[in-house]
Amino acid sequence: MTQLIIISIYLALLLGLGFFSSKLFRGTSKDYMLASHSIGPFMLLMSLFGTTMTAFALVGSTGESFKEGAGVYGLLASSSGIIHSLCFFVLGVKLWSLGKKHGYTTQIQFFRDRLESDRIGILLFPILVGLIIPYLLIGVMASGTVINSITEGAFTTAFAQYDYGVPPWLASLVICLVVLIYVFFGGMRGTAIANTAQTIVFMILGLITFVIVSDKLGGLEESTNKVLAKNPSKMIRSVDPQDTDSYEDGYKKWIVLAQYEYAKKHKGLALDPADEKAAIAAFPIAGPAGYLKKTRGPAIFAKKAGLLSNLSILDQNLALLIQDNRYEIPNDKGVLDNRISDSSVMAHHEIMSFPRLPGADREGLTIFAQFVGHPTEKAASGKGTKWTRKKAKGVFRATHWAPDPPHGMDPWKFLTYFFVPLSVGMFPHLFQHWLTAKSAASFKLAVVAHPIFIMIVWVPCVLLGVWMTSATDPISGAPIIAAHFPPNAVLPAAVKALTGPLMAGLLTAGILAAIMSSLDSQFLCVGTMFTTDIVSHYAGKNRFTDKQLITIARVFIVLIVALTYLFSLFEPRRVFTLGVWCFSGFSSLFPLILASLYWKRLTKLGAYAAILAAAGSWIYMFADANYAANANYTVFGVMPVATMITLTTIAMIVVSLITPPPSKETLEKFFPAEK
Amino acid sequence: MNKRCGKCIIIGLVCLLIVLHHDIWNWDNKDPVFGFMPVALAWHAGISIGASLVWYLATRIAWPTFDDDEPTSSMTSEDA
Repeated sequence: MTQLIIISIYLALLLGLGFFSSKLFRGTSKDYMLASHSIGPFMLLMSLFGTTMTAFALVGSTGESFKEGAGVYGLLASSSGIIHSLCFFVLGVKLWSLGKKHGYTTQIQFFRDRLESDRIGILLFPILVGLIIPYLLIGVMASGTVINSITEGAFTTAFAQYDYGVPPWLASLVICLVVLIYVFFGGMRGTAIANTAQTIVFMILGLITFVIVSDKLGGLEESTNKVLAKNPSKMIRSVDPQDTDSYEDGYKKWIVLAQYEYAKKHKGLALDPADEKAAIAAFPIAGPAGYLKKTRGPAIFAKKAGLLSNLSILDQNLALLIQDNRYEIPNDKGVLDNRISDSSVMAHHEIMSFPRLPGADREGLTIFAQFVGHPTEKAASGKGTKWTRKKAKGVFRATHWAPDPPHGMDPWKFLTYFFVPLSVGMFPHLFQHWLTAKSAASFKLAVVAHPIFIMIVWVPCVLLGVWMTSATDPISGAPIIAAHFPPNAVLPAAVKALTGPLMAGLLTAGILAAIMSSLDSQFLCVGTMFTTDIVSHYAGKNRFTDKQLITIARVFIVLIVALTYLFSLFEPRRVFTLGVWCFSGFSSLFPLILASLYWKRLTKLGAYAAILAAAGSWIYMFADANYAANANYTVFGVMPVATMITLTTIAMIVVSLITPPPSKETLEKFFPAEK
Repeated sequence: MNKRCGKCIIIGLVCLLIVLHHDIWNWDNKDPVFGFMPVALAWHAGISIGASLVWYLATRIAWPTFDDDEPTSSMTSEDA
């Protein structure tokens, strides 16, 4: 309950900040959308940084390094330090100058002018809004997951199916409403003030929590030594032979378990009760609730006694797929999936090419029903407390599914990740933030400090994710985070397990600060784009009063947030994977913004070709990757964004060169002779 | 130093950062730096610090000049 109280106080303070900033609001749409170009260096740094660091940076980086190891920092953080500042320097300052000179508020206004095309706005508007939605989704989803994990057990009887914590759907809804309220009251100025405050909050609380957590784990060196001993591949970007041996051993044992469970269920195998009892007693590791003893012991006995030797190749393959919850035998046995071989035992990577059945881990709730209850209630055995539903599902996954094969980072994939941070050049909400700057010199602090700020946030998160692969409970010796744990929940679970309720509550406020400091800018931006690029543009600038325009912006924001919220109720994806797809879409349009500022020969039709190539390739690859469900999707062995950018660039250059150049007036306007 | 020369230096340093970022030589190195930091993390934290220094230099020797006092227009050209 302490955590819930702290979160509630923090959200109330944020609303108070919104009311305070509304007092500074000058009542014009320009002030609402651009804070009247009044933001100085410090607030510009904090709002740009707060906007780019979202759930992706905290929840996503911790979860991803838990899965992939320490190399995650190099994948996106250090490259972002170079590329983000490059974008601020090369694009931001120049766009600010043009925006101030010609009165732009949105990217589409700039593109319409530069490309001498009114209809380019109609093409770009749905693409930009469409790409913002998954970005919003990351924050909305993550806030629900974090609040639910941290508040487990806060209620005595309510929300049992959510482990007596705040349900994710309710938590996400509250976060959306709080952000909507302070954005509505304060506009861009309120957003910049809130971003600055929240960025300070999440950086300070993040560092304090890191110190406390590392101390609880036995110190910096001790935490790392555990990883070196148990999961050395998480320290490097290749595979350590120790992990390969451990995986091969674990996979062989898992095959025996899979065959035994299959033979029991589908071939009528039943051990003699005395043999079964002896086999269970002989297995050395009890596991949670003695489950390992009960399942692995009899499986080994059956294997040694030759009771599994009569399984056909097809049966063996079906056993693996079913045990890993990737396949169910249809009622009509004659129509088995034709990818299931009946002539050779399928390799693990072939098994993994079948996606896991959604919600398969719910079986854990049935198997461990007697252990599940209120997380503060004493367990029937007298040892510890009752399990949460999440734990029951987690134990099921860890004991039922095949071990993950260790895998390194492909150097080409690592190299092409460099294209992902280019997305910053095309983020509409960042464009809007750039235009709030008081002067070109205001950008200097953001350009210089941004890489260091990224380091301050990402290094502790990545270290924590790596440590959690091997951290054990000091009392029970059990892993704090089990195998196959949902990556989005690693950070809140670690904080909850290793800190007291007060710190857990404070850090959650910090995580929410990071999430909300991105959501607010995005909310404001979609509203601004709609009123500026669609409503004012087509209805005429004087058709609506400033007050009416602000109301229209608010209505559109509510519609987009409602749509995003609905999406968040469906099956969750890995925050990191979804983020990379969203950023890839924006990155694929990077050649367009760069060329429009630095290449005189860019033409209207060249721009159309670039946008269509970017949108077409993104949609095709996103669908091919099963809508982000395939987290390891590549094209020609490299990140899909590399192919998208290549196609966009080729289309833009070729079509521009074969179509008439822009008019002399446009060239003089955007490429004036240097003084 | 003229601005063109400054820009060339910054372009060169950014290219150097990009090359150093692809630290293939650290791929298998699991010896922790300072006893706790994975090399894969420590090296790239160094890249972040290097990037900050390069961008600081950029603000000193390659910063574009703008006339901050230009009047702010409230209309786009198409409105006009």
